[in-house]
Amino acid sequence: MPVSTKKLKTSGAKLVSRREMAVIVDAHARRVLGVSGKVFISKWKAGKYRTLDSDACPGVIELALLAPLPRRASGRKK
Amino acid sequence: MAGRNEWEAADNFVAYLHETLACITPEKLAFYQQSKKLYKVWFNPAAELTTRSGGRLFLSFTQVLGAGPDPKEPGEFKVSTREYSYRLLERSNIASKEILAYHWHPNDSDLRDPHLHIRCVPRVHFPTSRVCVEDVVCMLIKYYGVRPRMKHSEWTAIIEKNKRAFEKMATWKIRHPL
Repeated sequence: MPVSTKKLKTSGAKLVSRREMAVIVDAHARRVLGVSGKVFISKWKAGKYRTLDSDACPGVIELALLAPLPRRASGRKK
Repeated sequence: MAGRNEWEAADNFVAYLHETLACITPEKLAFYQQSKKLYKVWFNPAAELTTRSGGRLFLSFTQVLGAGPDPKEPGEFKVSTREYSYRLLERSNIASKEILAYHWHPNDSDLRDPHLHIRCVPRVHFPTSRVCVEDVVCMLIKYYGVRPRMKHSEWTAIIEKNKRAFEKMATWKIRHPL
């Protein structure tokens, strides 16, 4: 999905709105796993994708990074 | 890479990423603010790279960024990478199998350390240190024949400058046993 034409002041990065992000995540989920974005998020929260990785399902890590899932304050902490 | 607030710090950080990535692609990153302290940047779609032999490769680049007060500079804010995925693809489809992928995604699976996937050695997670995008760009130019978009002296100066900044700012590079 093409993102809006709004850009950040310094970097020139393309600013994505919340609505656009939901569409992007949905499209990624359908392409990578064949499910909607909402289904992916709900299954992820239920722990169904804990063992999935790039080898078994290419693109799933990007999908998890982009989706609005809970994240720790610091990535290093176990 | 600091800023007067979280947003400005994130924007400044992405400017560094753009400068490095511009060595191999003119594409701009997409930027999403999930919360005041959490940002995501990625190529949407994967960036097309041209090789010296006239071929094409694709880079899927994704980072999750955290922003907060800089403990070393009161009143300033800084950004740090919380997770990343750098994948080299033969096709633009992100669901296609990668040639290689550098991953660090401590929130998303039981494997919490940075690692490398190589297509010809499936199911192995090769442990790595924290990998900066400057090293990935350098590797793509040197070993995968990706054509730089500028003179050798220019791209090497950018990589060197931004890698020095990474080394100075990164809070960790090698994960020590807890």
